[in-house]
Amino acid sequence: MKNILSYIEQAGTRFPDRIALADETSAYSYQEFLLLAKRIGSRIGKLGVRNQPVAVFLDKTPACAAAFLGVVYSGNFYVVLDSLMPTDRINRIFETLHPAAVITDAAHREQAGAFHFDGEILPFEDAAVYPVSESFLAAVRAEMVETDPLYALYTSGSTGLPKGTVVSHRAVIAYSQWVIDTFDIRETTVFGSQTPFYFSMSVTDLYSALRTGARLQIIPKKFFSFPLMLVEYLNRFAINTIYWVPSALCIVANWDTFAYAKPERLEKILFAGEAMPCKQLNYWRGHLPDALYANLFGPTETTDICTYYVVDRAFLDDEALPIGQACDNCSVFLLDEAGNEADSGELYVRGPFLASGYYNDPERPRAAFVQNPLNLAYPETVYRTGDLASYNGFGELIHLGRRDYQIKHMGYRIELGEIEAAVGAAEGIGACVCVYDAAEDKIVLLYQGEIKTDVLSEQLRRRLPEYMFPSRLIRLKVMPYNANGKIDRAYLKAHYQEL
Amino acid sequence: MEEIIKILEEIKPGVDYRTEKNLFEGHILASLEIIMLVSELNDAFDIKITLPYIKPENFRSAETIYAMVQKVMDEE
Repeated sequence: MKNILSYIEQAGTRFPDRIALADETSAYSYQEFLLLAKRIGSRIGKLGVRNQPVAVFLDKTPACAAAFLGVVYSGNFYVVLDSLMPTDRINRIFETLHPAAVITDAAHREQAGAFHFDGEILPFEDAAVYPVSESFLAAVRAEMVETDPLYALYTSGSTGLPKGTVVSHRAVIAYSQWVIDTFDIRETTVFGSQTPFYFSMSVTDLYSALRTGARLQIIPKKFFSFPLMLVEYLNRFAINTIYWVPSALCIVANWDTFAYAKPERLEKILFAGEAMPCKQLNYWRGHLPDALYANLFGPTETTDICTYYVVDRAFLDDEALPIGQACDNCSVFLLDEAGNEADSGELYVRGPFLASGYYNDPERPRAAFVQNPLNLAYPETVYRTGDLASYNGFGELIHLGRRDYQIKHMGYRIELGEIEAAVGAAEGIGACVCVYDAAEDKIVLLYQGEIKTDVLSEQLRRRLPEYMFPSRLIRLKVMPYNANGKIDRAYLKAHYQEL
Repeated sequence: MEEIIKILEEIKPGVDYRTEKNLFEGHILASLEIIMLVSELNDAFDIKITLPYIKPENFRSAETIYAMVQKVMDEE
């Protein structure tokens, strides 16, 4: 099967009445969900375009996911715009995207009116009741190939301009197969979905759920402010699998939530997107010892993930979790600075999880999607992650940090992540980040927690060698987080002097 | 009460906290601002607001926040 929809339709045939997607106020069975997607697809078909971007500008709801699949039914690819995304950022995206249409609902119609683009604004409410044209949908399916784009996700580029990573049906089919096999995703799985749809992590739970007849239960964002309500929500919907950013898991741990309430059905706890501090992981493992914990690692450019580690032993609070081994049907290798295969170096990825490249950005891929330096015999594109890794004594990959986070200070090569792991383990630290101010040659540590800077400083003297010691310690009332729910390093680096 | 309004104004200026009755549901206070607020209240009143107090009804208005602080102080 060449189209992701065929896999979802298969699940729909097996489990027509099971719930596919739900949130607090709505729920769609597989049958209802696919019908809605077909209606939307038939309406988009009226545009008469193929393999063009169609933007979806809706809140994170089950209907929003149906709109994604509607775009796919029409033979086009979807681009997720979050309804909380600032209009300026959307207009910057549209400068290169030029979407054929924007699907939005009455609640967001006015905001969408401020977007600069030539396509049409397609009201969701109209598309949702449009008659299904089976013949059109069948013709689209017959003509497509598995390398056609499924979606483009926009992330911030280092230049400040958002970049749109184009991901094909083939990549998502191969990747979600790995998720399903590795974590035994099936019709009894109930995912508690935390990550926004414009974040690559949501591809993991959305597609592995829809392919297997599982249920994706969207957790409204506000629950992460009120951890007791969050646990109550997990229990109310019998959520047994979560795939969250570590910051979300840390909120639960830092409030000592499980002293008051416990998730009763949780079996699998997966995380990715940033380093999971072992102190908070140990809190979770202490209270839910029978659950499976897995650390997933990868960029949007490998669909979501390229390596993973299922936690199988104890870790001290100040240890870093491995990123483990390559996923099945994905291959990784390390190259040193001379370009030779090595036990420590930059991480490269090859195989079908790879994205097709960046949308309307012919320059950028040349640095990141390159000919496999280890294979000069035939064309083979590999992805250069910009991440540094090495192997530990168990033969597992360890993430050393971003190539751009590796710094040289007092003549030493230092990974900022190593300092963060040491600080994060100190008593009374909720969250911490290290940034390097190259102009002043200063390591700056920013943290949130009860511990005062002088006490922390004292503790760190025992944990860090002199040359790794931060030049400045800044205690924050609250960590700034970016739209994906990860700690906003770029902001802290640029603004630490004002904090 | 005045102190609470002052803290709220520091965290998010431009809101009339004397009259606003729907701080959270009206998206005036986001998740992180609530964590920040709790931390400021803990420092200002030398209390420790524990998890059971972290619920939407306590963060509806300056008045409900005030009532919560009073209650925590009484219990301590």
